[in-house]
Amino acid sequence: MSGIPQLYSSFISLILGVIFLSNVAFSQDTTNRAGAFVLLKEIDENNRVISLKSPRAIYSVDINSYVSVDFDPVQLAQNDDAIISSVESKRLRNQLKDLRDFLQKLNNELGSIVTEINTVREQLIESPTPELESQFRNALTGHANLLLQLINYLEQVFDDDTVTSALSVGDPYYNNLISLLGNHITTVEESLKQESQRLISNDSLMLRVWCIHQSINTEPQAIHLNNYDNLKAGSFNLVDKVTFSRTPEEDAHLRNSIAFHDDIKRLITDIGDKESELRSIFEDLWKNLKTDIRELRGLFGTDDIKQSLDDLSSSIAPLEATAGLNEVKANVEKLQDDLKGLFDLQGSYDELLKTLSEVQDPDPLVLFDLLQSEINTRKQQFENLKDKLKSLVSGNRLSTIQTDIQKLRNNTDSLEQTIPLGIVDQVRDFVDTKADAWLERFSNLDQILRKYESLYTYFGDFKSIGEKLNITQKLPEETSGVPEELIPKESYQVNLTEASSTAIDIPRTNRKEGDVFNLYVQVVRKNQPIERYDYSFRVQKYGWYNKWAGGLSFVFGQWQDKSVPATSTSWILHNRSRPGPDGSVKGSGILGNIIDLGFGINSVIIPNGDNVEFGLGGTLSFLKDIIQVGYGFNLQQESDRGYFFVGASLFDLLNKQ
Amino acid sequence: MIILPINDTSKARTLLEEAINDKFTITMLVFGDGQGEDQIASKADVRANALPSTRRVVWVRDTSILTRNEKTAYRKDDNDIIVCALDLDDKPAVHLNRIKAKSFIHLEKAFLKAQQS
Repeated sequence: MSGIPQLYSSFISLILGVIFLSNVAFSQDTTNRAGAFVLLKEIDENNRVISLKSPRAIYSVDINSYVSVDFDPVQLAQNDDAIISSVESKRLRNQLKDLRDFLQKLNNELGSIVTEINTVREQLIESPTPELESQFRNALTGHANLLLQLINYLEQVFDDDTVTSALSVGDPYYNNLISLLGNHITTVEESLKQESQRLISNDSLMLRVWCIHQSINTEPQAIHLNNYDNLKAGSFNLVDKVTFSRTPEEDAHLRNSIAFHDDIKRLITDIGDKESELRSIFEDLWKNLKTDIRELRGLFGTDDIKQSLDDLSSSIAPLEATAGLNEVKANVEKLQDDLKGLFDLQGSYDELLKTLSEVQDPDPLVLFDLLQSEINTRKQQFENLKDKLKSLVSGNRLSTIQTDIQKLRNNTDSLEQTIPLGIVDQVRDFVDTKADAWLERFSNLDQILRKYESLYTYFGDFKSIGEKLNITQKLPEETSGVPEELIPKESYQVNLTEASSTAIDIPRTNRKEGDVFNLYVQVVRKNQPIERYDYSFRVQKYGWYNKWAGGLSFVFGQWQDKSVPATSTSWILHNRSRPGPDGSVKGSGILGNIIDLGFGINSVIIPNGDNVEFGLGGTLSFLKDIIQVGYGFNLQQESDRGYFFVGASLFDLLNKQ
Repeated sequence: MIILPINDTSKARTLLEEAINDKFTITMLVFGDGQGEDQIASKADVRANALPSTRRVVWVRDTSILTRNEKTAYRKDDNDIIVCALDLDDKPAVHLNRIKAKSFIHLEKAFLKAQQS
C-alpha cells in the first residue's frame, strides 16, 4: 500500500467537499431587508455606478469602491413590515396590493382569453365538438367575469363620463379601461405617500447608522460614516491589484502557508514509515495473542473444562447430604462464570481478523480509525480478563474448593475415586505457574497499546494540524451575532426626517481581499431601538489582479521513479468579472469567478534524497488557487529536468480565502 | 353591424333569422328608427368591435317584421325597450330601455352579461 497517493486523493475529496459546502452555505439569503428605505449603490474607482438593488445575503464590492447609502424614510411607512403605521396607511397598502394584483391579472390573462375565444370559434365553425363548444363558452364567461369586475370597480372610483369615454373605442384589449385602473393606482400610491409622510413627521423617530469592518485574524472595528459618527476617517489608499510586491498581511499569509505546507510535507514523508511500523506491531501483537489464546483454550478449552466441571458436579451430586458440599458446588459455579470472558475474547479476535481481511488496502486514516476502535474494545476486554485472572489467583475460591473437597475426602474414603480432584489441581497449577507470565504479557500488551495510541495521536494531529497552527479562523460573519455593544460610542442619532446620505468609504480603510463590512441601520424611538436593517459587503478584487499562494505539490520528475511531495510558491494572475444585478455570472465570467482560473509562475523546493533542489515553471490554478497543476524544470538536474506537478493549498482551503 | 332593409320584409326576416341562429355569436338587437336609434346602434357596434369575432349588432329598423312571440321575448311588449342582447342559445339575456341604451357602459355590460349566460 502506498499512503501518499491515497492521502493526496483525500486532500482532493476534502477540498471539493468544502467548496461544495461553502457554495451551499452561501446560496441562502437570510438577511433582513427594508425594501427601498435604504438605497445602496457602489461607485467604483472609475466613478462607475453599480446598483445594489437586488436583495443579497452579502453584496460583493470592489476593493477600491465606496458604497453610497441613501435613505427614503417614507418607505418605512409603506413597507409590509411597517414599523410606523395607521389604520389609513394599512387600508391604503391593502388596497394597493389588491389593485396591483388585479392589474397584473388583467395584463396576464385578457390577451390570452381573447386569443382563445377567436381560435376556438374558428375551430368550432370548421368542426364543432361538444368539448370545443364548452371551451368556447368558458372562455367567453372568463372574459366577461374579468371585464365586469373591472368596469364595476371603475364605476365606483370614476364618474360615468370618464368610464364612458374609455369605452368609446372598441379596443379588444380594453387599453383605455386598464389605463384608468393604472391612473387610479397612482392616485392611491400618492395618498399612501402623503399618509406616510404625515406619519413620519408626527412620530419622533431617530436614525443611527454604523459600520463594522471585519477581517480575518483582526478584531472587528467600527469605521467612519459621514454624518453619523465622530470617528476619524482614514487616509485614502487605492490597492494595486497587479503587483509583485506584497502587503505585510500577504507576506505573513504566504510565510504561514509555506511553513504549514512544509509541515504537511514532513508529515506525509513520515506517514509511510509510521504506517509500516504500526502494521508490524499490529501483526506481532495479534500473532502472539493468537498463540496465547490457543494456550488458554488448551487449558480452559470449552470441551475439556466443561466436561471436567460437569463430571465434578455430577460426582458431587450423590453426596448432597454431606456437610459442606453445597459450598463446593456454589464455588464451582462461580469458577465457571469466571472463565466465560476467555471465550468472549476468542470471538472478538476472530471478528477483528475478518474485518482486517476485508479491508485489503485501507486509507491510512480509515485504518487508524478502525484500529483505534479495536484497541478501545480490546482494552476493556483485557482489563476484565486481567481482573478475573487476578481474582482467580489471589482470591480464595480455588483454595476454598480444594479445602472443602479435602474435608469431604476426609469424611469419605471413597470420594477420591468418584470426584476428579485432578481438575482442581490442574487449575491451581496453571494459576501458580503461568498467571504471572500471563499478567506480564498483558502488561506488555498495555504498553504496546499505549504506543499504538501515541501513534494514532500522531496521525490525529495530522487531521487537526489546522487547529494546531491556529489557522482555522472562520471568515467574518456577514450580519448575525453582532452584539449591540459593538455600536461605536462615537456614533450619534439623527432625526429620521433629516436623514442624510452617507457612504462606506472602503478606500479609507485598511481592508484586504475577503474582508466584510457590515452596515447597520437602526431606527430608534424614544431611545429604544425598534427596527434594524443589516447589510453586508464582501470586498473583492474585480478585473485583473494577482495573488501569492503557497502550496503542497506532488512532483513527478523525469529523474525520479515516483512522485515526491514538495513545497511550492506561486505568483498567479486572475481575472474576476463583476456579477450581474442578481449576482449571477455568465459566459467567460464563469472561468474567472466560479472556476477561478488563474495562471502564473511557480517555484518548488524538491526533496531528492538528502538534497533539496529548486524547480521553476508555469502553473494553472483553479478554485481560488486551491488546486494547481503545472510543468517546470529542475534547475539542478543536468538532464531529464522536466517535471509535472499537481498541488493543493490546504492552508487557503482552511482559511477559506 | 347588420342593418335590416325596411322595404323588403322577406329579406329582412331571412337576415334576422340567420343572425339569431348563428350558434357562436352574441347578438345585440337594436329596435326602431327615427328617434336616435341610429346612434344607439352605432354605439353598440363600437362595443361589438371590442370582440369582433363573437359580438354582432343587428339594427331592426322596422319592428313590424318581428313576430308576436319575438316582440314579447325581445321587447317585453314594451316599445321603450330598444336593445336586447341574446346569449349563445339565442335567449334574451339583457333588455335596455331608451335611456340606458344610450350608454356605452350599459351596452358593454349587456354584451358581457350575455357572454356569461
